[in-house]
Amino acid sequence: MVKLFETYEIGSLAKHSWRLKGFSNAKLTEADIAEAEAWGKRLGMDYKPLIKLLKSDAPDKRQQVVNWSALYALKMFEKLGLDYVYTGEQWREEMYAHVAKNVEGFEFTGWIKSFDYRYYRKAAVVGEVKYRDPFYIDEYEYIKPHAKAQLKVPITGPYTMTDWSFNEHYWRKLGKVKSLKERKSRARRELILDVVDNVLRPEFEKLIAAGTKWIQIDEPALTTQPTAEEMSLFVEAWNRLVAGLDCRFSLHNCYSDYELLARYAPDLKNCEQLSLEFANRDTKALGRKRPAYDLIRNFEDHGYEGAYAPGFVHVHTDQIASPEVVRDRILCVADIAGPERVYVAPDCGLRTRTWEIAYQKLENLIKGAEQAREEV
Amino acid sequence: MIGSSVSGNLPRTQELIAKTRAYDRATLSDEELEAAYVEASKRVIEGQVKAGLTQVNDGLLKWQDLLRPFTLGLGGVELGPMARWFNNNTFYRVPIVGGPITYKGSVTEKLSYRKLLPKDVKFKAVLPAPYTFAALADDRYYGNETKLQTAYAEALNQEARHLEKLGYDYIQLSDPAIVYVTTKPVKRELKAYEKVLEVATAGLKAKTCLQTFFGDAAEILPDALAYPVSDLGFDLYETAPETLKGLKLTGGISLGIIDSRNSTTEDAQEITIAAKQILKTLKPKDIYVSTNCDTDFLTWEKAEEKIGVLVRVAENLRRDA
Repeated sequence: MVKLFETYEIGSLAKHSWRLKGFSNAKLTEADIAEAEAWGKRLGMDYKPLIKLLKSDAPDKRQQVVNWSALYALKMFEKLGLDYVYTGEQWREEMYAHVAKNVEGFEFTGWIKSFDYRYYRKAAVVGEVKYRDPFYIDEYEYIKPHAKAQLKVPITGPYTMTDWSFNEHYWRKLGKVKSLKERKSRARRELILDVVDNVLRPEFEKLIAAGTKWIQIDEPALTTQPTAEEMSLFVEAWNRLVAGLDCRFSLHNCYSDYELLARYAPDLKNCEQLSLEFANRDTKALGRKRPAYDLIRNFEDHGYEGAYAPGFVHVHTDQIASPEVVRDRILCVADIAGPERVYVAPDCGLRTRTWEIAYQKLENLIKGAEQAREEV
Repeated sequence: MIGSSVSGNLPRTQELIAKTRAYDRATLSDEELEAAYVEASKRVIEGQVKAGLTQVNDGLLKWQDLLRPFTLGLGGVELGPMARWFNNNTFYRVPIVGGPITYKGSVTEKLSYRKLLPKDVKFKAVLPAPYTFAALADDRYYGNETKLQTAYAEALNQEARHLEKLGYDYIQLSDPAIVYVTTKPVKRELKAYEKVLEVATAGLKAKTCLQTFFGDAAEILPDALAYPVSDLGFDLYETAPETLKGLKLTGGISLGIIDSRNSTTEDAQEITIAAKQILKTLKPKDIYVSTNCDTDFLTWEKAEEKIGVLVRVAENLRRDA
């Protein structure tokens, strides 16, 4: 019998101070070590080699610390009982920078304002985008033998890599195009297709050959440019990226315009499911009627036939939704799309929360799914 | 007259960014942060002056977003949630209008480093236009877009008059929402906006510019030609040159022809040719060569390079005029 309401996390977890300091060879405090010990104990791990490593000057300490951190994340997800797990993206600096720094053609320009006193590192595409170093496969090959649950590999999509980067090279290449508007648009298309063909497809092929069964394509930038031209460009890139590959594919998109996405989702080939962000838009009241989740109907009306993981736990607050609220959110979406088309996940990665909060949120997510199973 | 200016703010320097991050982590004092702002403001002012821009601003480095001084400083308005700034990976705080908008004194002066501007340069002020303020606000009081725009325009006018007294020669009203794909007005609203802008610019002797960006100017033309501003500004990375062909301009034009949303440093010759192509069928009173929008999408170093190109393009146009 097929299990209903399978659970997973979206991707990222916060990095412990021992992971950050251990990686950058900074001095660890007793509190950092104590944190590593406490979580090691809690997760039932033999953490003593990690403590020894953290106190050492081992030559390969940086990579070993990263490995341990990924292992901690995996064990946390498995201990909680998620159906699909991964590394908490502990291998990655951040979803965008991780790819940009491993791919030929990208060069970081500096910190750019996001809001107030928050900034992000933005890269410029200064040459043809080409595959240079493996950027996802090593992480997969490391974690695979350690995993008992099934793996879902989150990767950063071509649209987000394009939208979050300055496009110098492809702009220069098109110097003969007189209209600046047309030149900008054509340069964007050339860049995204090179990210697909030269960078992501080769890595996907390696991941699939190594045994990856499910790739989640993260596209937080999607709908930032809310025009038909841009949405069509995204669809074109998606279809080209997944064409002919034997793997499950899902799209993760959050804090977005879902009315717009709903119009284009049916055009995405092999997009088995959409993982979206709805808990952020919902109330904490109990009950199966939840207007915030009504937007799912838009996807249905436009003919999307895949499954949904619409986000049942808010990730940008420390408040923990009760299992009952999670249950009702799940049942509400099951009423719209049918229970067999509902997966259970948070709104987004939990990297802005502490591990303690992330743990409690995922715990209630799983309990909510259990309660929902009992109701259908 | 062929002038040159940045049509909006300037980026915080990497040094200032480091200090603001430290301040955010509570490892830097208020005084140290203030000193860092002064230092960075001096640098971006000097960068503009040395490059030879005909109009200079103080960088607006302390503004957290274009609307924020008004959101925090006007009566009847409160700070709301964070929202995406048009089609960018940057965010602003939504102004919540919960009561009648009132002007309680200058909202920008305490954030300004105007006093660092040399006396012999022309100062340019950058303020949010009424359409954009109203389009991005959460209106819980007026219940009517034109009423909200007008109420804000009255406050804006007082701020503009105050800045004029302080010596600002040129006042730019930044109006991205009026051309942006999801916020652009319908025809009827375009007509009504003329009256709103009359309120915003009433009694001003300084030159004014309605600077549009992030969208295609075709959305507001030809109606915008009748607007009571000295100059109209267009984002030429969103507007096809054909849109501007033969336009019967009654005032000046601000050509947003240097891209603040891409780090590529443009070729001055190439941009000069593009500008000439556009100007061939136009007879503007004045021409301003500008960036297409605020420049805080770039690092200061990149913005400075682009300012250099902008000045060279203006020089080329003057030489060949």
